[in-house]
Amino acid sequence: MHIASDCTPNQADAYVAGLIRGEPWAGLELTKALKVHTPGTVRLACGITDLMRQSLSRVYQLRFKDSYNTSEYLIYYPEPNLQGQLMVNTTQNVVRALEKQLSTLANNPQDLASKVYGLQVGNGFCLMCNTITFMSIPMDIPSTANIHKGFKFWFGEGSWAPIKSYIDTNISGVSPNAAMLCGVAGICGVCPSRCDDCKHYPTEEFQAYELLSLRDSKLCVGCNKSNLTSISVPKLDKQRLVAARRRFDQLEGGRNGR
Amino acid sequence: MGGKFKLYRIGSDPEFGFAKIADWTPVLVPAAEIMTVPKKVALASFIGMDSHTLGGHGTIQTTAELRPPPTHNIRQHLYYIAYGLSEVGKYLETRSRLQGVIPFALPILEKECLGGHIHVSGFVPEPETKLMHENMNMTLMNNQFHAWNENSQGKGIDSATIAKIQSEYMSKALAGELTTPQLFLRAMNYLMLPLELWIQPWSEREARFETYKGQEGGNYFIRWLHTKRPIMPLYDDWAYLHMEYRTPSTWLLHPWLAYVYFAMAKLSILNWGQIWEAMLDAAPIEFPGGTDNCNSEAYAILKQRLKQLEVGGLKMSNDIKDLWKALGICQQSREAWFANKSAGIDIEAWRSLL
Repeated sequence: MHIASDCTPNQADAYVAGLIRGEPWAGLELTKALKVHTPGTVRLACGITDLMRQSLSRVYQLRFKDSYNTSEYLIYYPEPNLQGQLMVNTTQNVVRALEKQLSTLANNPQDLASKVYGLQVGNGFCLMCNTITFMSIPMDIPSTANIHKGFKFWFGEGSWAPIKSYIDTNISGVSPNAAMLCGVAGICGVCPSRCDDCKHYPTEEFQAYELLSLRDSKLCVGCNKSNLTSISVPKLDKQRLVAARRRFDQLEGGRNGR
Repeated sequence: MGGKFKLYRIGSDPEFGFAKIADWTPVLVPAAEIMTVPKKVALASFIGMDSHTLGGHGTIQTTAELRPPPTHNIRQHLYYIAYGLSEVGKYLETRSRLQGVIPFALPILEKECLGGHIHVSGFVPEPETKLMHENMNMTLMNNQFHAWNENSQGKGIDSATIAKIQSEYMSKALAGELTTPQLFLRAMNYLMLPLELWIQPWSEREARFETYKGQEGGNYFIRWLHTKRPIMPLYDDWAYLHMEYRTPSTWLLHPWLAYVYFAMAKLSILNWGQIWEAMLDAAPIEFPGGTDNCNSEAYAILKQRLKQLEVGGLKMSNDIKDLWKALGICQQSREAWFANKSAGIDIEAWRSLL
């Protein structure tokens, strides 16, 4: 893999591997390399909003065109000195596409959640913790051939079997149906992914908005709907009012009205 | 003029907090962690959140509030509040993730001030005020004219006429003849401020007032709102006012405490003429600072003012006839209510009204 002219392929590999493990230094080094040394690197003044930055700040986005042998990539690195900059070395049409995407997001911040979700699933990020935990699963699988399939799986292609068997062997103890969650919901096997209220896991038919509910509030859509805010004002007729008046008369000042 | 008020409705948006008890001390649990819905939903719902995000919790909404519909009968309003609090209690009791979380209603919880704002709407026989609000889109606060409705504009009156009307309005207002927000606040404070100073736990109430120090004359303790004018042809020439009276700390702790606040507010409105005259004669009570407990002093002022008003004959409605009984209950119980700081809102007492 060749990223920057003064990086050796081994260094570049180490940076990317570090980034995949979620280690900030790797992102910094990689970004530096891109910024300073790579011919053709384009820095986008993307007008990223505070809201977007806040939501994206914990996310390193890495887009592989072709598994590990990429010629196109996208990195977001939100350190203060590089805040909000998207860096890409690629052809002009990709730059234009990115600009368009960012300007759409800036104008429609309400779409951000689903965009982030899309990016996370696309890039293999856990929806709950925003790390690339489950992306590292296929990376750890010894067979090179399966890595390729593993990546493609997240884009809706390829074989599920190698990842499932890896998860079943290694982390199914953490969460009883971790494999299903990783495969269907985009939630890593380590994160608590049950609804905090009803304790149910997501089902295989889970839709994107249900995942967002689980990610944002740790509650499934059903429990979120029966939230305190959904309670409406009671209907009150004269009889109930008179009865309430009578009960008020009997109410004393002590604890529990006694 | 400046002494008549035709009550339309009385309402409220009382605040409360959620807390867990640690070492007998309530520790705030941000409301946003309990009402996990988009902010725009929680800022408008019957049981929802207040929009402010103070107190070191970043951008998370910390304070919960009820938004019961306004009513003419305060007992009906209290019923809505009882229902809301009962549902809050039920929700907390049935969610395992919220085990140990209880609703709180003290004037301040950690750094979060909890208000028991009371809304009053009605008509005053002041064509000048109607003209000022509805045609010129202005109101007078602290001897300065402000926009009455920031999202609206005046009706194209030329500047010379505006200056003339403003000058006349100002001189009448300074003479206490018009119901400006500031005078409305003073009139409401006539009974309600001594009540607040007496009845709330001193240190928490003092901490809440300290937070808003310097804003007594500003618009923290009074806000003018511009809800739709109700259709009441009899009062077509009168000005329609909707004021949010914000001096009271939250009173959700116990139904009798809430009743006293509402009954006293309604008593003030029903006897607006007397209150207005008395308010103009009396020096406003200073918001006391420091740590000296003035509960009993405030109680004495309240009693004396009520007695004076009674001499002239007080107008009462059926729903506030228990005011004296409620004052007695509060006098007996207030220390016990506030002594146990880790007890939270008396949900059972509220529930017993349903």
